[in-house]
Amino acid sequence: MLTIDRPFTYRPLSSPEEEEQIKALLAQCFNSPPVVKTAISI
Amino acid sequence: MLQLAASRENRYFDLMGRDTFRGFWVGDQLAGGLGLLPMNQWWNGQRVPMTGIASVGIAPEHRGSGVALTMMQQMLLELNAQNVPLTALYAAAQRLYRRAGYEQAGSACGWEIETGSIAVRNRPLTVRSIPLEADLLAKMQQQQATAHNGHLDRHPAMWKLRLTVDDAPLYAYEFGDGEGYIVFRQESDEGLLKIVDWAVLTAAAGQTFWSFLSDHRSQIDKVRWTSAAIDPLTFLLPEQTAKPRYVDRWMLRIVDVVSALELRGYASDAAGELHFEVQDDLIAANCDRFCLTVSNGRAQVTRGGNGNLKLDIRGLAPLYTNLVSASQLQRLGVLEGDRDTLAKADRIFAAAPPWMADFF
Repeated sequence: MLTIDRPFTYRPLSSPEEEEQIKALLAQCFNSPPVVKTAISI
Repeated sequence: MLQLAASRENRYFDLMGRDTFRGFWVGDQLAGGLGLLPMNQWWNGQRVPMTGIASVGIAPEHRGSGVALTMMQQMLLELNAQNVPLTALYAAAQRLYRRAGYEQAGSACGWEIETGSIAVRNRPLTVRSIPLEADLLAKMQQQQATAHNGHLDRHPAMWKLRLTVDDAPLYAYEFGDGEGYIVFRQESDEGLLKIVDWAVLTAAAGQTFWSFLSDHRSQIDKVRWTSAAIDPLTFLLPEQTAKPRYVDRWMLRIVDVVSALELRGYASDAAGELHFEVQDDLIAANCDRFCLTVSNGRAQVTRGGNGNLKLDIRGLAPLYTNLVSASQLQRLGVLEGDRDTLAKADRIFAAAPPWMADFF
């Protein structure tokens, strides 16, 4: 039941560069109204 | 729910560690990511492995393109390959997660009370300042978890986040000799005391919990804490002065029907056999007829039977946790079954209301 038809990859992070990319992405998602987010709360 | 600032997001990432994150690339473009928190969740006195899902984020240019659902499906297939029975999350976009097979399964409620209205003066236990150490608190937290459906064996990162000092210092106190604890911060400008963690294991600890808070009334106007939607602690108050500030419902996804049902605990008098049929569009092994046999508080699941109770994988989540009974789910159109089957399912899945005080 896959919903996108373009080639994609889902996997763990493999380098410090990818870690920085994910951090930047999540920082952007959680500092602007995101379409999709799961709560991180205190 | 509070959203994290960027610096806290980075600290959260660092605490969880790179290995717990997954990326989703479309071509060579990073389109999304999420975090996996392996834990255990308590169900009728038994711990069931559960992976909490956190930090689901999709790059703006990929939103609305199916990336989020596909990423969630890939994550579920990964967990299924690892034999993880359950996964849970707090959703800001419930429709997405429902499409992935999640459903509302338990509550988390923020409460508030004016300190002057607590009016509990009896303090049967000593209150002792203790260091902010997870190891010290975890033993009591775990005792509390075993007695409450939906509670967690917390991921180490959750302990670190909970006990991290931010703007205001944190204070920790133990009630008696291991009968409970409270961890809180004070926001004196607002006259607010925020409880960030607590455990109350005995009636004496409950009395002490309230009297300790009441004794802050000269400096603190209000106390906030997280608990169940129907908070048992508030039964100890002389009047109904505690008010809910918000009620969230966290969502659960059954990843492996057989192990989820076999690892859960059941009431000791809930003996019986239930035949059911599950639909799951993603995980083929869940798409089958099953026979659940319960005795002495435990269950065995075999494939086959007459499939008297029909439901999809989403409907199984609130039944599993007893957030909603089988009879109620039938009235809501979530499952199908004859009267006898529904009554049997009500008995077998009966449990205390599911809740947790943790966010992730």
